[in-house]
Amino acid sequence: MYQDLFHALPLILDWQNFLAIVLGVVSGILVGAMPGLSATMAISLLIPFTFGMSPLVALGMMAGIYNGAMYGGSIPAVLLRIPGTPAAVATTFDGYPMAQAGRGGFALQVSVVSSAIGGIASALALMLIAPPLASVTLLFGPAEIFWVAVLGLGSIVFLLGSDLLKGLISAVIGVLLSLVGADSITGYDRFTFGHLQLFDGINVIVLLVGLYALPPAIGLLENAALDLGAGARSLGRGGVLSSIPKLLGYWKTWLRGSVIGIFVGILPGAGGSMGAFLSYDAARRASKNPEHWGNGEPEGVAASETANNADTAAAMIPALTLGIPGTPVAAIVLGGLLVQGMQPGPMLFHDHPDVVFGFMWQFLFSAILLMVLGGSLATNAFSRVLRLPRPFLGPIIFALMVVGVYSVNQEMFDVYLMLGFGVLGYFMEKLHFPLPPVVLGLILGGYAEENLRLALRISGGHWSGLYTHPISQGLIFLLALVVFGPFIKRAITRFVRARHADR
Amino acid sequence: MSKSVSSEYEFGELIAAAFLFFVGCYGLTLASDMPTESAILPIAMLGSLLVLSLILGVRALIRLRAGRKGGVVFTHKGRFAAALGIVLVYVGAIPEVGFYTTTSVMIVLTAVIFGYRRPLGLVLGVLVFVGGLALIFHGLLNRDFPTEFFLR
Repeated sequence: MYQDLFHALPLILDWQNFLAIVLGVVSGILVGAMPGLSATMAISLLIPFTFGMSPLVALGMMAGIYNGAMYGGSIPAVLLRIPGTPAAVATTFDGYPMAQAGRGGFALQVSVVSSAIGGIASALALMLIAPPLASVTLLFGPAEIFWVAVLGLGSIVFLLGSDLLKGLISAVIGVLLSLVGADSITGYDRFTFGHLQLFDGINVIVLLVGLYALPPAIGLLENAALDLGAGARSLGRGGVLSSIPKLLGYWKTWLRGSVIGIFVGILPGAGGSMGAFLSYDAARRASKNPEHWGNGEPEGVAASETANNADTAAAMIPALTLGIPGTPVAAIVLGGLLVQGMQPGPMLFHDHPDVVFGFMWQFLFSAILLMVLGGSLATNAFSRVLRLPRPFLGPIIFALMVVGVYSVNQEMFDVYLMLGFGVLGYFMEKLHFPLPPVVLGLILGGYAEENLRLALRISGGHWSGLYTHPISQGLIFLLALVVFGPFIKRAITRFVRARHADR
Repeated sequence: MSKSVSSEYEFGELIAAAFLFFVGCYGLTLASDMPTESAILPIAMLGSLLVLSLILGVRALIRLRAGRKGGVVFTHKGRFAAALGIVLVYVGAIPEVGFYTTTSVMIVLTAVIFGYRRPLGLVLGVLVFVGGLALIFHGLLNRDFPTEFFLR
């Protein structure tokens, strides 16, 4: 099972693959450091640049960007109290007070070392868990795959947002978008309005670029006068490696943050910000000095950054093994695999072991490279990205969006469609409708429908075929936990509080 | 404008609910013409959208009647309109004028409209960015964008 993993290692050490990881990490840190620009946006804009590349070079860049952006988000979080990415919100709690006290350089060293450790742990989890899970998923039939798809969608709706109603609406919109195109079984064209370009359905890259790139690009121009550079001061020139001995006392926090981040990463829909908050909270509870937290406690930065990087490779576990992306970034990576002619899912491990195992190594190397590329000198340079003029950056993103979407099929129609999704995404963000369920709805909706219909055909039209197999029953149980779990937890909390109040 | 003195957010939700309800109704009329097997999921989803949008609308109305003020949706209406207008004109002009020309003009105009006032930096930035795109996509990846009007 693991021999393919070791066979893939020499491929990654090829200079082109290695350079791709380095470029990915550097560009990921740069994009992550710009408030409002996320890893999702960076990777979705990058995909067209990978069309002519070999699969491993393209995936290496994506792995580098993902890890780099997660750390890059901590730079403005520490220096300006503006999280560069949503996952860096918890980093602001102690990172910014540290910067105000003149310890911004140390905060970023804690951040980069913790990010690297979280990323390494996550890559190791991917290497250990994904191969056996892929073997198990080979046993799945259409009914099981249907339930996995419903579980993925259910998880993102019920675990993600504070507003369940809006989460459900977002998921329904996503599933409806997945229905556009010719029906794969009857051949009937659904919601295409006579446009031939829609017969194959909506390309996930078109949706992702629209939803995730246009709103922040407009946001940059809406707040074009904001001068972020003023807050970025010199951070000192101490090397990261020399500061590691001072940080070794945080090993428990690193371990806890890694476990939390990996667990949250595997859960579809939970995402890096949830992992960072959970890790921060758990570390604060375990701390001997909880009163210092929020006032510049380096361990707070370590807790948050470990978890948000531990989520990265772990999020690829359900994506690579089941073809079900747990996060928007995982969805884009799956889109990238499709562009390269590879179908994500259990057969990926069988058909392209060099690529899938090579990708795991790339996650590991990109996490290790963070220590080198995210060091103090580099961080001083990266903090200058905050001084880039926003009126210049906004239109550059517009142009990259067009490049990215047009390159998919060489059709202006896709660009118009992307623009429509961008406007939709802008208003959804303003009204606090979560975006990830739309993306997962698009990816999983068609997948669920196709497998549901296949399962029903196999069972001769009997619905019982959906729940007679033990794996299906296990998945239904998990789904019930995901759907009803939050309500049960809330009811128990209310009951316990009421009992305490009575006393 | 203070965030707490406006009900714009609740009005926004109400408009969104009405829009989604309309989409649901229109979609159902289309789905009713589909063969049964193809129509099951569309009808289920559109029906769900109708119910959910109704709940959203009623919730927004109740909140408005209760005097809840969720704040503003647009913090900079003019800037939003300008940014959206630019991107619409840009995308509309690409097939007519050509990708590289339109992109160069769009970047310069947007930067100037939104307050960037360093001509040398702007010209250099545009040259590096657009030149880099041409080098990568035309030179290396052999991917063409809509042709420039002066090359047709």
